[in-house]
Amino acid sequence: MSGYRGNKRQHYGKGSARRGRDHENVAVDENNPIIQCFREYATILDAKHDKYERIVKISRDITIESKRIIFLLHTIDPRKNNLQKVCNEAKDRLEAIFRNHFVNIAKELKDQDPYQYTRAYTNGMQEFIEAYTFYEYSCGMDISHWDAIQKKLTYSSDQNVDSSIAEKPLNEPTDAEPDEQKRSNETTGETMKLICLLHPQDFVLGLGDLSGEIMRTCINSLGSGNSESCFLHCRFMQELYKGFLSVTSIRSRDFSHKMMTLRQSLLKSENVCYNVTVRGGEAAKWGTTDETSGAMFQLQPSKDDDDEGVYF
Amino acid sequence: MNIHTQNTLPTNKTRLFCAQTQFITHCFPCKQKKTPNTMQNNVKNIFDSFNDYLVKEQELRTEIRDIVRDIDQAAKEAAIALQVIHSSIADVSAACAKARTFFDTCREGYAKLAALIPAGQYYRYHDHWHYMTQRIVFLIALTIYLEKGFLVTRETAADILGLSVSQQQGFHLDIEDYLVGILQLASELSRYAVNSVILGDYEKPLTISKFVADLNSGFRLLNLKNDSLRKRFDALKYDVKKIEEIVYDISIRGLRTEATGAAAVGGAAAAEAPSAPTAEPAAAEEKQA
Repeated sequence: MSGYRGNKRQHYGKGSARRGRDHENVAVDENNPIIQCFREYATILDAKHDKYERIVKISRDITIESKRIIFLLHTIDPRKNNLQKVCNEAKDRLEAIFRNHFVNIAKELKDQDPYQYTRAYTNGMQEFIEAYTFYEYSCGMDISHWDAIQKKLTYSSDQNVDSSIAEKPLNEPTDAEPDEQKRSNETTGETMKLICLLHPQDFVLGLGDLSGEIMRTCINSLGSGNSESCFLHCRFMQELYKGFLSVTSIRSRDFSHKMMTLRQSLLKSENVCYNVTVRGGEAAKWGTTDETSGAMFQLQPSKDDDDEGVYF
Repeated sequence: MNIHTQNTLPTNKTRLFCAQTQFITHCFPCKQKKTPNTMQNNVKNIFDSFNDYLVKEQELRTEIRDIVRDIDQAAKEAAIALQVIHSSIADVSAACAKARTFFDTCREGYAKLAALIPAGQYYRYHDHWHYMTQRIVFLIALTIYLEKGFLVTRETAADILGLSVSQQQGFHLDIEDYLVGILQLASELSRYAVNSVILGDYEKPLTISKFVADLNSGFRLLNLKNDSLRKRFDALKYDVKKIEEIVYDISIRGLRTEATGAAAVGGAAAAEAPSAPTAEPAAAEEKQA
């Protein structure tokens, strides 16, 4: 190779590093059929990437708001008797997320294959599920099935978009999953539905995150001298762990990671309950500031993968 | 919307919706203060239905895998048939004809897949077939280039496989799969250029060089994200370089006539630096041809 050619070649590194900003001043032959095709492909790709980025943005907002709601729910304190007040506020804010954020995702997903963009909003969705289920747990309700939440994520475009569908046709075409209804024109001839698909896997991963919050609640309630509720929290986490153990054949790397975190939270809260049982509620609380027994709370779970984490 | 594709799996609705028989309205269900013992007893329900959901998905994935294996087999055969082009010039058209018969087999396979995938869930199972689809697009592009000497459009490629290009039609040819397939074509053509020279065809590398240079400038029109397509595109410049060196080698040794020589060098330069004014002679030369 001559040096001259080598110099020319250095353009490549720069050229491909440019994000197409100055394509405009590149002389391309517009009559070339290949160029014409690629102009069209560029449009399609750009539209797709833009949509993806918009959804990611909405998802980030959902994440932030969900984290705030979780923080709010941690302020529930039986001594202040503020359960009702906090729950109402949390409920309003959760409703606002449905109203303001998810509906926008649903609009973006209109006439699209939702699975193409699930990666874009999976984080926001998981965080939201965590907040939602934590709200239900804190207020003493049962945890909703994901179908119930999916229903709330289904909007119809004829009403004001600030309300979920309140009336469903009785002949729902729910074949296997709710997202089957994502057809632009319903057979019943009513207006189209906008759906923000809730992937069941996101729901379960969100439940996994919930365990961390419950562990915190458990330790907080010990601090506030409400030691008998520790046992309830602990039992619920054992249920969760059992549920996670029952899941087989999942195609997700996050899942096992979540499972380990769940196990650690479980061990922590079981340890709290142990301390309460052995020393009574007060002593356990002092134990947290004490050097020797403080180590009990930093208990590292054993690294071996034996599954004897559930005992009753 | 196309017709609802038949679901081969029996759906057990009763189990799936056991957790919510009540009518969920817009408002939150009213709060029932439960006694601690009955509280949160439906975690088990949730996980049971989640497991059902996974089992269903698993069954469908197994079926998909079987079909994909068949299509993949046909694609392999086509790839093997097309390898002839590197060793003999005379057999090229026969190889293309043979490859086309295998594309028909692929087409049947894709029809089966399309019937199996529920509407609106193409990307849920996309990972089962996207590698294979990329390879098949590459084989189609290669066949058409050998036959006619131009780049297959996405529409034509989809048509050969009996797919559509729009997502609304259900089972379609994803644009990124198509583009990756085209990038694979460039690598194969750089190899083809080498072997053409070995077989004594000194004109072929020139046309290939022009073609790949066009591809390169085409891809530069795209704004790529940092994904697999981008990584694959980054390899394209090496293919361009390789082919240019071949053109350079045969020019420098005077293995072809002087008239085409000057133009081809111009074309090669245009490929190197699309912003260079030398792009014009190449275009002019193309119009004359």
